[in-house]
Amino acid sequence: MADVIGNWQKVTQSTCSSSYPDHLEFQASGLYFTQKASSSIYTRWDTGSYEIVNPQQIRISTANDAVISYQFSIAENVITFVDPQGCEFQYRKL
Amino acid sequence: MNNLPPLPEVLPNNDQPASLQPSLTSLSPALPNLPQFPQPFPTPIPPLNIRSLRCGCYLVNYKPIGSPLVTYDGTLRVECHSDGRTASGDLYQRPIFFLPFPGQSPKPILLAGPNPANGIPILSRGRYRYYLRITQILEYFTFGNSFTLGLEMYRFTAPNSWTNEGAFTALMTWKPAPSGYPSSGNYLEGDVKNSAGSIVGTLTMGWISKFLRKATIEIDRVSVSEAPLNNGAGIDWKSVFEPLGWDLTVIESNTDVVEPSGNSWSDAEMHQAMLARRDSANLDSEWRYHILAVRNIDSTPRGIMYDIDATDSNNVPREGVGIASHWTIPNANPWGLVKGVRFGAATAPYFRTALHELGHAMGLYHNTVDNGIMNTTDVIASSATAANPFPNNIQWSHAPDDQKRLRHYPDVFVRPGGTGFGTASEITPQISPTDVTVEVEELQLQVSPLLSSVPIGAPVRVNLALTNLSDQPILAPASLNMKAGMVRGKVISPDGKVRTFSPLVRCIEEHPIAMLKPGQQIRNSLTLLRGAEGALFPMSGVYQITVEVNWDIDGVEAIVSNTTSMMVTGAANEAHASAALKVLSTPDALLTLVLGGDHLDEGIEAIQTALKNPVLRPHYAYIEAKRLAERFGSRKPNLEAAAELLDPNTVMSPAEIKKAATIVQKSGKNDIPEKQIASVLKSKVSAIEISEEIKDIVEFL
Repeated sequence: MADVIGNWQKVTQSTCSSSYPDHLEFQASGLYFTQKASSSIYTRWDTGSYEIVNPQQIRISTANDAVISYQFSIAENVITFVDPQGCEFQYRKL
Repeated sequence: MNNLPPLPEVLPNNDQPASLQPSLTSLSPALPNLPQFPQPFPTPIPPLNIRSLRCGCYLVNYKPIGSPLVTYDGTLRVECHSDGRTASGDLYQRPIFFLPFPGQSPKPILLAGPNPANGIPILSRGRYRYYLRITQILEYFTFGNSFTLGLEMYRFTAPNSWTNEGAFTALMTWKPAPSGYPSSGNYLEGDVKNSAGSIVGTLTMGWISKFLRKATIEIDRVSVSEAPLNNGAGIDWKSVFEPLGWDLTVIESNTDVVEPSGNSWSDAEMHQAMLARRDSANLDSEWRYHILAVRNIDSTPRGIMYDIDATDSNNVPREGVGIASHWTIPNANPWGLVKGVRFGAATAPYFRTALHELGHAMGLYHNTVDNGIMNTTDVIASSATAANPFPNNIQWSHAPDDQKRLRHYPDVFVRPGGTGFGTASEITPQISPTDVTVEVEELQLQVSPLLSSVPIGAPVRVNLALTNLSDQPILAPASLNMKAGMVRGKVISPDGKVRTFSPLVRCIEEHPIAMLKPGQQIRNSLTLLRGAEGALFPMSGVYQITVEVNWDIDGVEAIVSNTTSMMVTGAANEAHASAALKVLSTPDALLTLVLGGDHLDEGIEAIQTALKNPVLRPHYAYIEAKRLAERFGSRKPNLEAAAELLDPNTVMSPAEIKKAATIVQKSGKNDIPEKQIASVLKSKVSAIEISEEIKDIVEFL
């Protein structure tokens, strides 16, 4: 869990990952936040809770409050997520 | 001898038709009581008629000129607040009916419009055509019989695209209302003119309701689940939604919904139950939202707006939500007074979740600006304190920006079965302005380009200076750095197109606002390249740049702005054109400019391309030097590489000079790279107008 805590910047540019936010912050409290210029901008992850189920799986609450499981891995300050539709995208730790 | 003509007979007030008497209830609550007029003369002075625009919903009709079978009906919502009026509207095209004639081809006939006696009309989603962004309206009162309505018309094309068809005005004049209107004195007509002044249509508007919108909530439940009706302390659906101008009818309907597969429901099962058990489903004649209370939900602990994407089995979005009465609140902090309680028995947070999920059905997203309805339960709980434990710290209202959306978003964003979840936005189309901003005249914002012209592909550097011209201290932003979040603006290109820029990354300052003393000035510079609409300077020609600084003073949005202009020159040769195209068409070039780092390969590649071009190199040299001079990950700062990039021709704003000086100071060394950079900075400081503060910093390098 300690590895995910902190601020992350999306480094993937792809159509399937465009609805995920550019910036993420995972807090030790189990909450996550994102930065948006306005709360009228939609991102699939915006704010809520996360839970690391095991070293390869994380559950994140989403914009409509569904809690979704994602595959994830961390290597060299880059976190890679794969969503249930198979979209793979990465964030780099700031 | 008296040669004066006789004065006209004056009618006493109670003989005037009621429609022409000023309506005191329609005046803004902020208006003071008007004094009695003194009457020194024996003949009474005729009463003055004061008119204001009544708050509420107006039935509108717009008939374009030249199209006898095209007419639009809809609503104009007028919200009254202490700073005047905010208004918005929607138009739906009226259907045509083909009347059969024996022996002839059917004749098209326009159907009758909505009956004003029926209140707020609900019109068919498939006929939705326009959002009306009202830019000018009668804010307070007039002594005349008309006012100018300013509006922009945004044409909607399903599934969710918008075209701004332009700005229009209409001189709206009060007239006696046709029959059926509940208020005969609140009806107006006017010709609509385009920006060239030509009449393009006629607009009528007649008041029909004190509410702005109308909807029904149907609550169905499994027998052991509670219906979310109130918070247990006097707050219910009406008390949350009436202040927003929503006329909400809440119907408790089925209490015997059968669990299809155990006590936990999938999204698809909830959707199926909604389709099977709701009392009515004609979303073209009623805005009906559905709430299903069940024991547990597979995909979430507390509640969900399930009607999106693949779980929307009938492809009609945002019709229904589900809440889970049998989730057990963890018996631990931060759950405060409801630790270990079954959710349905925790009346306040249970009702809040229902309000929250319904907000998603109305197109709203999560909002952490306060502990209002659209923040998440876990974030609110985690912000509680011992003195104000959860759920006492719940705010039983929507955040101000969400309130505005619920009043003034286009119908299709809000109504069930409109556009899909995730499509609502304040930008496309632009939501009506609030008019609660105050221009602070005692502060002067100077905006000037660093260079009066730059070659195409180069970023544009703009200097800002905010000065307190008054003899009193004024609360103002402590910094004009865009990362502080209070600076934004727009660029108008030579072809008249407007492109906006705003903070890409926000750094939350501990003290973002500070007292600016009389005569004190703060300065900064912006480096502009891209905005929300893409490259800000994509063609050669003269540009206008407007910078706006806005901040909050005691709940009021204060604003200062100013405009400057500069020239972008064309491509000097093919190599320059190619390099310019590369950097203008790479979105990450801006990210690299703002964030630096080694991770944005495409942005770095674009900037490297610019550096290789002799025309663009001077404009990008500092950007690359700064990136290399800062640590990133395991890479140490490389001042040697930075120094090689900088020379007296490098284009640098005063803020960039200061930043470079700070980087040199932080290195703590006085080696060749530091000396080289210091030498360049000293030459630049002597060549441009710059603050004493920056001169001193550079001088001591």
